[in-house]
Amino acid sequence: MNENLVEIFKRMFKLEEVKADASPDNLEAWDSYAHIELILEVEASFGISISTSDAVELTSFKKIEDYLASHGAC
Amino acid sequence: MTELTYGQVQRNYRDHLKNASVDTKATIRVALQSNFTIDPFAAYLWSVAADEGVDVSVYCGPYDQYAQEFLAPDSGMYASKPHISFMIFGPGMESRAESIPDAVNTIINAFAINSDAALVISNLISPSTPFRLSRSADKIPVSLTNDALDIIAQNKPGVRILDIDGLASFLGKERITDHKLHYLGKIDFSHAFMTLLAKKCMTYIRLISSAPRKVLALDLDNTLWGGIVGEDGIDSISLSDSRAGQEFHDFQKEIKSLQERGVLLAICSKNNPEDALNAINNHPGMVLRESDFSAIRINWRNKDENIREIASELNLGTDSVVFLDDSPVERGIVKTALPEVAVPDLPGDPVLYATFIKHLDLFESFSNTEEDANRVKMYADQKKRDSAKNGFSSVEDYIRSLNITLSVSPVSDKSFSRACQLIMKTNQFNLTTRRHNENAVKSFMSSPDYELLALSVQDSFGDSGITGLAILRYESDKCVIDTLLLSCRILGRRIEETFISEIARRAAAKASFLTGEYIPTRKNEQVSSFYERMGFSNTSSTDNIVTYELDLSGKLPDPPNLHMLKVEEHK
Repeated sequence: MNENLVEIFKRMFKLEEVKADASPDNLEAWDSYAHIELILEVEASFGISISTSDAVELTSFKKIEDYLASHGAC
Repeated sequence: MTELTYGQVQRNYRDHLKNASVDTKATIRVALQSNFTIDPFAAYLWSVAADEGVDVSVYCGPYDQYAQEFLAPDSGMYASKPHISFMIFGPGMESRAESIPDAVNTIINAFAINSDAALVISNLISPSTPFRLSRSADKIPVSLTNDALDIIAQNKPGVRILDIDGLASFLGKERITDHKLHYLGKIDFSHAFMTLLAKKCMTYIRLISSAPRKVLALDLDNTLWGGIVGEDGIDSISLSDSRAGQEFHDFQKEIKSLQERGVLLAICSKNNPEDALNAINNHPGMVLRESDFSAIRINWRNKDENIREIASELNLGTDSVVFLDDSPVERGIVKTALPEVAVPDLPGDPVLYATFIKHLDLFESFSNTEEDANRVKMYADQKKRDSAKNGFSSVEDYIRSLNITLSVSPVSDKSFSRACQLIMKTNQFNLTTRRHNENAVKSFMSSPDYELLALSVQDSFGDSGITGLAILRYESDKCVIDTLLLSCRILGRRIEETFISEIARRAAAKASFLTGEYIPTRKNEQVSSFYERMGFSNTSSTDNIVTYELDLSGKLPDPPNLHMLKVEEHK
């Protein structure tokens, strides 16, 4: 798993461990406000810009990880 | 604050809310109302206040429901018993600019009836059009609106207009929005602008939480002039209206204008009195002269003692004193000995002094005089009488004024994807939160046992499109409401009441009973008693689901008669 991303998840959602299927459905704290924070945090940490239409779709740890890999960020 | 990111500000605030015990009485209760998602701004306000050691609790009105919040005496805002309420208009209000003065008038009147708190209303942000050849045509109504708002507030003490347009220009209009925040969350302000706006709002909060400052006590050497008069001599200090030392002259001019606005000036300096007074009275670069100072302490004693004496000479408390000194050591001593004295940190470079004091807002008062404060009450009493006489405009009147038209029609191939989107996304006004996928919705549409109704809403501001959905399932003599939801964009207008009455009317054609279900989630508490309010009776309750029933042969729910209804029957 992408360690940087794991750290962001731990910090944002106060988790001990992060599962690849983590999503708004199984993380109570992941609401629409938290989603915006998460996207901004990922952008800042990885030095990328995520388009708004992509950002809306990035609703699980796995999806964000795949997105980062496919955009050459790690 | 500025070093923090958006996420850090939000997280700090959430942690604070989690740790704050419920019975903690915050010193200052603040309410925020806006035409966009204001919630994230609460974190900034709390953060800025906490930096100043002020404990605030912040209530945020629901998205774009400010009119309802101000008009309804039982609104969430009034229940939160604010000490101060802020109404913040976001960018892009040009098209509504013309109607804003009336709306603001209504808000002010309603607020005066329902609350004794202070009210701060922002003006509108005029659009910037750097690349057009002339001002945008929109610009005229916005600036006219802002002029009108100033006039409205002038006659209404207890009400202040926050010049958000000026604040936006100060930062740069290009920088006040963050398109990602806007499109992802309808948050219309950027991190930088929310930081700045929070500081501005804090100025008003300070005004209502502490007595206004009345005295400015000033050091002399390296504060009112450059250099040390006792050592360098009167001819060598840096002070001039045109040459080196002009920055001190300009600083003195700003202080003079404070004095003209009623601030008392005092000198608090470690010096030989003869040297210092000689410079004050005879140096050609001085703007301020001995007679401008209401109290003078030039001696070698500690400055905290001198400040105490200055205050008592002027018959004021030390809490009305602001002390300016270039020496961090002297400032530190006064801060420690007299924590109630305001001791701002002068910038290190004297060329920044004049700008610094221009932005120092410690001498403002919320109402300009005590008479103003009394006028607030007189005004409120007058308004209460007026309202008793001619039935002050109610929430109902407001909703009627929106000219809302509701259309209820079967979900079609055209509205299918929007319906699916609502099913997946709606959290708050959603009775069952059943996330049916597209295939399921398709199968409902082709089944004779189901009826899917799309609700669309139009009002004087425009067409919100499809913003409500109901899925009805017929089984023997029953019609079960599988799904009932409304988008948060149209809440607070009693649209749900018209919708349920139309659902009941349709169901009555095919069934004897209408069954409603409420499945509690973390976000849909607001609809927990919806069916009860609509006249349904509770038939069973578990932790996971509460069931209600309405006898369709009896009285059907009345629509509130606030909207026009257009219906399209099933084919």
